Amino acid sequence: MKDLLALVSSGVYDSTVQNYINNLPNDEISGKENTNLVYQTHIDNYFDIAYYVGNRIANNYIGNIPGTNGCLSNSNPNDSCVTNFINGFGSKVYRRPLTTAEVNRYKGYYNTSSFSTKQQKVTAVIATMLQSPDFLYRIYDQGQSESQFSNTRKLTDYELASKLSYLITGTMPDATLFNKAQNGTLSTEEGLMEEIDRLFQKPSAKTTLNRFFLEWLRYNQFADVNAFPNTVTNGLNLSNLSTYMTSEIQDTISYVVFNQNGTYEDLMTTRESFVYGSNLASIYGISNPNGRVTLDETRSGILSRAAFLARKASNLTSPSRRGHFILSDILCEAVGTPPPGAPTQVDPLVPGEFLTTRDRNHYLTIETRSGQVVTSCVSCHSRMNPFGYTYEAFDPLGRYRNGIEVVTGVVNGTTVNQQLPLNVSAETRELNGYNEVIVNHQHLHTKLGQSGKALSCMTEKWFEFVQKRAPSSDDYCYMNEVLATVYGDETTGQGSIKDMVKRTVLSPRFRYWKY
Amino acid sequence: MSVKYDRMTRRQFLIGVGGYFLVVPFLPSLLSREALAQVTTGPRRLLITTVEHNMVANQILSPSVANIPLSSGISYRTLNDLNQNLANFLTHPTIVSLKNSGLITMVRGIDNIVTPDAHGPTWLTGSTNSDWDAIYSPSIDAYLESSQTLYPTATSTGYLKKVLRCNGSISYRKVGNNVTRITDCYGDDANNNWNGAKKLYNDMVGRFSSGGGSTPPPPPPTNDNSFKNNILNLVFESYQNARNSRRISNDDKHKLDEHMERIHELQSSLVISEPPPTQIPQASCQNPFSNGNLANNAIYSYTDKMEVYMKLVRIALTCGMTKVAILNFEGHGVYDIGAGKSRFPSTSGHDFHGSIIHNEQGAYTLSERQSQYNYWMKWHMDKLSEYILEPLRTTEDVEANNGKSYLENMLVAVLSEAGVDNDGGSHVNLDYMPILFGNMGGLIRSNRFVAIDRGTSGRGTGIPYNQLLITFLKAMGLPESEYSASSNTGQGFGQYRTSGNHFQRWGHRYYQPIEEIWNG
Repeated sequence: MKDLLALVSSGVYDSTVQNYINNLPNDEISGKENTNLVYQTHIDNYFDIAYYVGNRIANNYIGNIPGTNGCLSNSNPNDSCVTNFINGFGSKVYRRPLTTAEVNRYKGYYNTSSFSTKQQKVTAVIATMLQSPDFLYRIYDQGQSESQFSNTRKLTDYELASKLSYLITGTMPDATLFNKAQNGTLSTEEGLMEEIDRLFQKPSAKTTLNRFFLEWLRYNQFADVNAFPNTVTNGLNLSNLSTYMTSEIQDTISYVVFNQNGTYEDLMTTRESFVYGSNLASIYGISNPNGRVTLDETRSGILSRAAFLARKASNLTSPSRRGHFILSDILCEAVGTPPPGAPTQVDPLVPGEFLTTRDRNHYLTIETRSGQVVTSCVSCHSRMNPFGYTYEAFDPLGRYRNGIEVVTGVVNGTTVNQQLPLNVSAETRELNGYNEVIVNHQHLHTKLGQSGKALSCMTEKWFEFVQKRAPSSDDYCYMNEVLATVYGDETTGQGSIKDMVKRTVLSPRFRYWKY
Repeated sequence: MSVKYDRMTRRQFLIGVGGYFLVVPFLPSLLSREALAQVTTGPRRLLITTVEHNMVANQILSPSVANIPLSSGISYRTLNDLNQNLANFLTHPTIVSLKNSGLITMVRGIDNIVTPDAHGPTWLTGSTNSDWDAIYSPSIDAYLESSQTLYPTATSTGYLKKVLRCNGSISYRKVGNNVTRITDCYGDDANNNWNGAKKLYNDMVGRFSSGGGSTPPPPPPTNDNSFKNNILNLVFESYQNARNSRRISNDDKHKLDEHMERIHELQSSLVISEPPPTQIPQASCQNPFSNGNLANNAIYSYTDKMEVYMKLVRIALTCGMTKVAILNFEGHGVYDIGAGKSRFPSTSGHDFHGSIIHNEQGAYTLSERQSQYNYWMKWHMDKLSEYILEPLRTTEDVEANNGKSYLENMLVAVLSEAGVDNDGGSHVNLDYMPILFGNMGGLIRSNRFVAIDRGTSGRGTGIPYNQLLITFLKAMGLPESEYSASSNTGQGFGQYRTSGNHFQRWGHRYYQPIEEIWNG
């Protein structure tokens, strides 16, 4: 929707229309765009926007509609003028030339006796177009059928342009792309590659690809920084900290993907960062933040940043939550939900007792102090906890702890702090199917960066982002094509994230509509 | 694999709730709302229109919409609570209003077993010129024309008829005990000039005061919500069109269904202010031409002519000039209602009937033809709404003096030449779907969509077409004796095909109206 409104606003009433955009409901599924459910609020607001835009154009800008040469300003526009209006405006909205039947249908709408004035007719046509299935949904069924495949259509060049544009830039084709569709230069692989590279240069390409990473990694869903106890924030200025944490990940991903043409492994191991606030800089132990910075080796990989580490607003870290994220989101392993009544807090320390968070977590989820296996939890936590333990090098807010956890206990009625050495190594078989020791989080990131399972997981998440649905058995060949690019080979190394996008577009499957 | 969240849709919810309703005691309050109007017939009037060839299956209600069993093999659905348009071409606000007020009746599954040709119903309803009437006589209009009940004395009451293949023109017959047929078509002259209009004007409306201005079209919607509602009707239509014609999966069709459901929800939230019916205005009997006359050769196009015809029909019905009018919407000759206009020059032999309906030049895909056909249908239904239904709906039947509008006291039937099919040009003579507006003072049990299970093999066993025609004749007050007598073809009305599957199923009803829509 945003992109359409940019089309009609033409810089004239952007800000007003933006108010309507803000009325559109938020995405519903864990921050993902959910295009599969049709909500009443969506429909209501689509109408409000379309009606508003139609009215504004009809009453204020009727002479400026592209393709009409101002003929709609005439008191009684002739048939040719109405046709030009419908073709001109419609091709923008539909992202392709309208078919004869479509033009005729809209002319019927224009001429219907339901609307008595020219302004009503123009409003009605525009508002109907802006709510039409061809605008609100992306239907690519105008091409020729492929006789060897049932229910399959090859995309027309216009459809290919539209699909490509939405995939990379999240908006409708620009004039260059539209012209290339018109003159047929998109049909060749070279022509297509040229356009992909050109679109990658647009700022909107960064926005779109960041949207993928945001939906996948949910790096804006850390715990509320204002809810952390004072013992953790320790006087830190929390103002704008959330924004800085999110911006850091967003800009770092953009930098690695677009500036460095980086790979998945690069993302997992990069030390590049963008730190804008002194509070975030303080968490990282650096001063004078000014945007881009190269962090020390303890921060290698985007997963070692505050946005990923601040999983729970508590005075203790949550190895389970940190580990769960790696297992489910980075490795795409299914993890069950906790049984009813499962405890969410570790047991309090008894007087005189000093235990690391790791040990307390182990007693809660794996094996009790008396050696009893926690049967209701162990099967899942034994898979996720080891990953979380490697991040114990960081406090709940993401500060590096230099190998020491300060544990507060009570001795003889008096509160006492004790420094306990951290154990950040762990053993897991989740990466390769056999037990291996991960010595710390940097080691984990290196392993993840080279893990076929992790690469496959990213590919699957990418597929979901592109298709807006989970893959089915029919889709695995397509996914494997993309995965092969991401794997790369021994000579060239991994394919870059941009290569992944390119391969998606160049795959024959991208150019077909199956229904 | 991650676990996906899936919200139960409203549709799923309703389906689930429906499961519970099945075990709830059946309460009258759960019954659908129907318009069971008290029968208060006044002067009876009938307008029959026929459309060119078929109705296209994917543009009209599916029989499955009628989901309430009525009797064995027959089900129905009330229309005023149906959240969808009744057909792709029935979207005019007047029609929506009539639907909501329970003044529409539709029947799906009527078989023409009367004539061996699919064109039969056109002839049976008298929508041809007089020469063709006789082929499969008796036609309904022949009985109406000669009815002593309807026309007891020689009067000046006329009989308006726009016939097929009369140069796209119209005829006006003076009838009564001394029937005077005007065989002349009021059409184009030898030079293709439409001087017939002036002649028709003199015959028909010359008695009325001139210069009174045309019958005003319904006022433009001034209410913002009404305007919005009209836009949403178009949006809905575009989704219906996409759902039916685009190459999308069944899942996506369900998604569009949901989308359409939401559009209706939005429409229902708009408060439409209807004019209060406290004082229904009386119909204008002034002549329909703004200057009181028609200039020679002033009108040529089909659209211009048809709009004039419709104005004349309205005047004839409301100003004591006729009790029966028959108006054929035809596709022969110049086709200039918009869609594909440039493809049909008047001199090349291309026209809507040949080029679209029968695809004689092979220029269109089925889908394109369906689309054009829908355009054609919608144009006529919109104009019918504007020039006939709306004025009849909103003007008081002063002759009846029963406080009802003309439309409530009469019947306007939209019939098709052939039956329902995917191809608008097929000559199928099965599965007709008449659309009736008004309810003849309550004689017609309106607000219903009735579907007859026609079976799946062979010709099926839909209700014989003559039951529909008998319904009209009885609604017009004709006694059985006036239409069951043998005619010059040797068959009395209702005596067709007294053997075969249809007869076995429906023989007991052969002289009866369609009882599912009959309230007499």
